[in-house]
Amino acid sequence: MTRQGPTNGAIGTERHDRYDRGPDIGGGRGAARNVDPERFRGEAGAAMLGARMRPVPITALSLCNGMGMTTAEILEALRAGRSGLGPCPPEIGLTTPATVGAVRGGLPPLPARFAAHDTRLTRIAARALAELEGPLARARARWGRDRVAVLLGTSTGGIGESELAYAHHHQHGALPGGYSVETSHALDAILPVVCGLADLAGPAYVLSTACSSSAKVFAAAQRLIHLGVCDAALVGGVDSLCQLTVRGFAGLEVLSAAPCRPFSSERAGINIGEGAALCLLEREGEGLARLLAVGESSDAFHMTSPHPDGLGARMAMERALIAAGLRPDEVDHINVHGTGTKQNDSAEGAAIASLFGAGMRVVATKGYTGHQLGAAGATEVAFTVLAIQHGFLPASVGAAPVDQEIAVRVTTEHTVMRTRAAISNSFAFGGSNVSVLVGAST
Amino acid sequence: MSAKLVMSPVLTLELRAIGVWTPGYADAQAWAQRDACGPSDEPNARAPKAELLPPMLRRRTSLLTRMAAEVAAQAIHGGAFDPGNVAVIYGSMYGEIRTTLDLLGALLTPDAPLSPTKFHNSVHNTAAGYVSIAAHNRCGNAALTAGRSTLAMGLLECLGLLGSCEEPAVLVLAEEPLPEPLAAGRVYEPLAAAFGLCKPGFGDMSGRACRLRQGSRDEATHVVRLPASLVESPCAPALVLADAAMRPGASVVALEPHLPPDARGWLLELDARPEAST
Repeated sequence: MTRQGPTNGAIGTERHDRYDRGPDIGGGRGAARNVDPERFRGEAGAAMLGARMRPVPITALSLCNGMGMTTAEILEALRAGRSGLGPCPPEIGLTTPATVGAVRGGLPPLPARFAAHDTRLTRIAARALAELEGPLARARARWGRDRVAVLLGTSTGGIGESELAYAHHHQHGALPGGYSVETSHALDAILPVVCGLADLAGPAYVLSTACSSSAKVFAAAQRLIHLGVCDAALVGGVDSLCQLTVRGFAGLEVLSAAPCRPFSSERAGINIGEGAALCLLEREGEGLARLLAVGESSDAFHMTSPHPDGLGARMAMERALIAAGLRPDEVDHINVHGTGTKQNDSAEGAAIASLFGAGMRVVATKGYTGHQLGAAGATEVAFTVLAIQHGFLPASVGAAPVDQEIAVRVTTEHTVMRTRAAISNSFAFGGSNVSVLVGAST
Repeated sequence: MSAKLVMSPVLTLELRAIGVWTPGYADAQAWAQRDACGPSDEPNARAPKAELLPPMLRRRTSLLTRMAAEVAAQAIHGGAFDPGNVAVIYGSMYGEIRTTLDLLGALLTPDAPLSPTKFHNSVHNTAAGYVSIAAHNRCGNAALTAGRSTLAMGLLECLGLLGSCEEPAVLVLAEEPLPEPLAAGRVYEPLAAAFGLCKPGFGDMSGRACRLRQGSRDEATHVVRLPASLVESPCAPALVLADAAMRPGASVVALEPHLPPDARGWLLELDARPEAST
């Protein structure tokens, strides 16, 4: 054979032109009680099926959202079935009534050294971070500050600052002093603040896949720990309320004026929320719960609508089970994505029923927080951890009367129940699906 | 038979293919031959073809998404990867900034409805969504940023994926010009690059063995003087890496050249291109 030089960017020496052979699209499948990894082989999207993942202890968590400023307040609200939703503030610029999950406590300015990065977003993150001082100090001492990664999800970044800056420019012909696209707007502007306040120097990046952003960080962290580039990771998500997201969803005609009611027959759409959720993952240690595995998939269907049968959602859940080596009947409940639109709830319900059978217990928690977009994934993983740790299922506020067309068992009342393993689902624009599988500590 | 490479257990990967698009240069080959051939004014070099996207999808997309789709396809094609079975990771500092600016403008008018298409096209994973739809790809994907360290962190994300599944990964870096007034004078041309990555020994083809490690940027052996129009692009380091990978010799590339020389940044060591099979 003669030597073939690189062509069109190929670096190797043999070209096998498979590009034009269109992949088959996996067809619909019936309900299966057993998850068989072999079923995926050769199917489009099998790439995310991989090694059995080793569980990672979740050793600390912290929350800040419309339900409260501290994890303790939020846990109490979750136990009491007390929603954190309220009227949309006028600065959002909606002229019709809307409900949001806004952080209602004071958010003090950041220390002076972070002045350039001081935004509502970073203040919310700093508030949540403050609670983790002790666990972070222990993690730094145990692993070294450069062995702890920081992986954060956000969808809004500092867009709220850009809204103000752009309006200021429109009025005065100049950007306001203190605004910089690099430190105020960019999605990564959260990193110097969180790494600085937490005194961590491991790999640090932001994942931004809209509403699955801060669920993805759990997958990335587990892989980096598995790879050995870090021993621990501070993961989570933060989003702040802004005009762009609230009015954007208004443009999609999915906002509910009243508090959202996911999985209810009386649902009328979504509410936007804001907040932060952080979890500390460590290679070894005493955990509140354990991150077992994360399943990811793409719908490959539509930018904003889920696959009507929940095909991608089902794949994500199946992949999580396979990576953890669990059967469907070993999962005791699911914290659903449950945004409160008929289309989303139906697709997710269909996916759950097809994989777990009818009657799987589900909890929908966006009635407490609204949809925190980039912070939703980590917040709901944290809720799942709290449910496992404290042996209860929160009431799905607003879900009664439940939509009888969906074959799942929606928990409408606070329920005392021991959970061995649970899934938290997050689905996003672009057809991005993430299922985080959390198990009880052994 | 292609040479099997001896690997250390972690942070080792194989680079199979490169995609590049920037005005004047339609692919990595054109970029690598820039000194001999200079920029082209062919239509492909003026605007990315992005043929991976069907016209119905493509016409709704931004320059950023088209550049990303174009270089992703180049890397998928060049690496002989199955477009439906590859994890594509997208890195960008400012993402869909021009679409975002359009929305900021619309917000100035109270009650003006925001365009639903522009709204869903403003997310950081816009290209990920379109490419997955076009390629019928049901793998997970991700869109990330670490500012000027996006190339380094994107490679780590890909290494994590390669370390936990068998299939290859493509890392795409893409940056649109920053629009005014947000740019406040920052000027750079559109730029996208992609890297087809896999575990050593994947498939039928051989590639370049690479190792990711930390060290000073002064250890870099491949340093490229980029055109002034690209120097300020947050993904400029990706073009330097693409350049190194298109040349046959071994090299070390600084992935975070913005860090001071005494800082420990991420470096990528590339082995020399393997000899052709006979």
